[in-house]
Amino acid sequence: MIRTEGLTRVFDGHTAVEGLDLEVHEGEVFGFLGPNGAGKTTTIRMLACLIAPTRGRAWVNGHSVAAEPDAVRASVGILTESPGLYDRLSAERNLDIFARLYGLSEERRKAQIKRYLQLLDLWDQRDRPVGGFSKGMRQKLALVRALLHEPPVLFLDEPTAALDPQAAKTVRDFIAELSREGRTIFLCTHNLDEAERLCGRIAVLRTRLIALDTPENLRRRLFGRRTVVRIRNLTPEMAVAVRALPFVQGVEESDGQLTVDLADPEAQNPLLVRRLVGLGAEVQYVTELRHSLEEVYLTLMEEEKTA
Amino acid sequence: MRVRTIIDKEWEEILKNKGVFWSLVLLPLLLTVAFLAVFYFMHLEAQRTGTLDVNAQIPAYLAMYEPADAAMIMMVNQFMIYFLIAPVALPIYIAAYSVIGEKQARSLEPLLATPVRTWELLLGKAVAAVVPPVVAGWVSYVLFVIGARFLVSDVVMRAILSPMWVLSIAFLGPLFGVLSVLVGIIASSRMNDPRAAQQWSALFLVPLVGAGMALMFGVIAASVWTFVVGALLVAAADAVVLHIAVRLFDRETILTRWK
Repeated sequence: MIRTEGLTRVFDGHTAVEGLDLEVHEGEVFGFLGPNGAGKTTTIRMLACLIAPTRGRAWVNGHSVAAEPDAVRASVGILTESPGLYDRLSAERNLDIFARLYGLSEERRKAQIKRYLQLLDLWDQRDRPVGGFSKGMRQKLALVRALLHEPPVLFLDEPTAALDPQAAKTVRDFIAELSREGRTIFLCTHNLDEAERLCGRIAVLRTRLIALDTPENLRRRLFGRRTVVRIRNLTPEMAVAVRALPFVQGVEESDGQLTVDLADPEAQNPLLVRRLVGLGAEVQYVTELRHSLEEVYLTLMEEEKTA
Repeated sequence: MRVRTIIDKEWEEILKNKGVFWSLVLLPLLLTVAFLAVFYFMHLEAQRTGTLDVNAQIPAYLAMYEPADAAMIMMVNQFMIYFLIAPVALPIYIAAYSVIGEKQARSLEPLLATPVRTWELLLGKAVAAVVPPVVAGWVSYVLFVIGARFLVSDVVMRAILSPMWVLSIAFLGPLFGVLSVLVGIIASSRMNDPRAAQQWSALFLVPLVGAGMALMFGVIAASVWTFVVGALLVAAADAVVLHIAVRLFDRETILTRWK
């Protein structure tokens, strides 16, 4: 659905994005992470035909961004970093203007505006000038604006930035709903929890692509897989015995618990627990140690810095 | 269709922006009232003294008229230049509001992400900026003609309704207005600072004012045909400058460098 080959953008000798190779599949929610100035917005702008790449090629929904910009623009919806609404105009007028620019008939415009405003609880506010809207309402309205022409591909640049938790949840839930409808969503965010919840795969960018995989695979690649066993009567002998098991890659002992590095926890956890129980351990719980996406992200950034 | 959408949007914003709207309406109306007041006091003075003591140097081409009529015709020429300049000067500020205001509200990026073509966007903005001052100018001119009918002689009235001025106000001013807006948009798209672009486009008024002064003082002679040919030339210039503006309007510069 979205493909880039060596996509590069240079501004006055400063490289904003370098040699980006990506492939985003149809119906996927694809997270695009990176620090400020990493080139996330520049990438979205190139893919939405707002700016041209300096080098490289890209296709969106089967259309080349260089050769068919009009077709690309017609098939994508974009939520920009700032909602960019016309404050003096009503919510309905704001939407109607964009629906007309996308070539929707009057009947379809009315139907689409009503449908989405109702979905996002803004229908009762449709006649109010948007200058008086809260940040959350503005963001929801900008999201509706991006959807009026039913684009198969959506670019969302920081959709929940600066929103209160409740508004952010509404927007997140709506994005999840859009994903269930089969849309391809390219989500740029600093909110790692949001990326974790919504995205099937994530890419980490710092001018160039640092990593691209599912959050789970990135975790495994960086931290391996670890099982935590909490034992009421933990003794040093138990740790030694676990360390001696052939499939155990490492053991840490602390505060009545063992943290064990395993290659295949699903197969090896039962053997581990059996061994401990055989040694008289009173096992309180066994759980997988999950590193947060934040830890993954920060580790990747640190590695990139060191490299 | 998309040009119409842009125009509708611009006008709705102008109507809802009280500052821009009233400056658009009040300036031509106040000028009209001021011009009629001048005629009124000249008329009173002529009635009181039986003649008009004209201190100003009457140009040779007005020597055939009575001194009072000559003075009034001279004033008419001056007033007409204002009617001609209004549709050129005001659109520059409306266009600045429409392009720069859009950038400041950060609404330009979503707009440029739609399938709207550059020429549609520029034409829509140019027409939206030019039409309200032109209509305001035409209405003011009509009000001026109606008011003047009660205050000036037939000779002066003929000067006010001379085909040269009617054609200028009807066609030449609006065509110059389009030209000035397009030049302003070109300047805006090539400069980092929108305020500088606005100042540069305002410079466009200088030659127009100069030409008007030259006409007023009889430095250059002009016939109706001069104005017809002039209007055609400016119309051609509009088309050429629109083409250049579309080529030069750099979406990237506007999105990435305007501060």
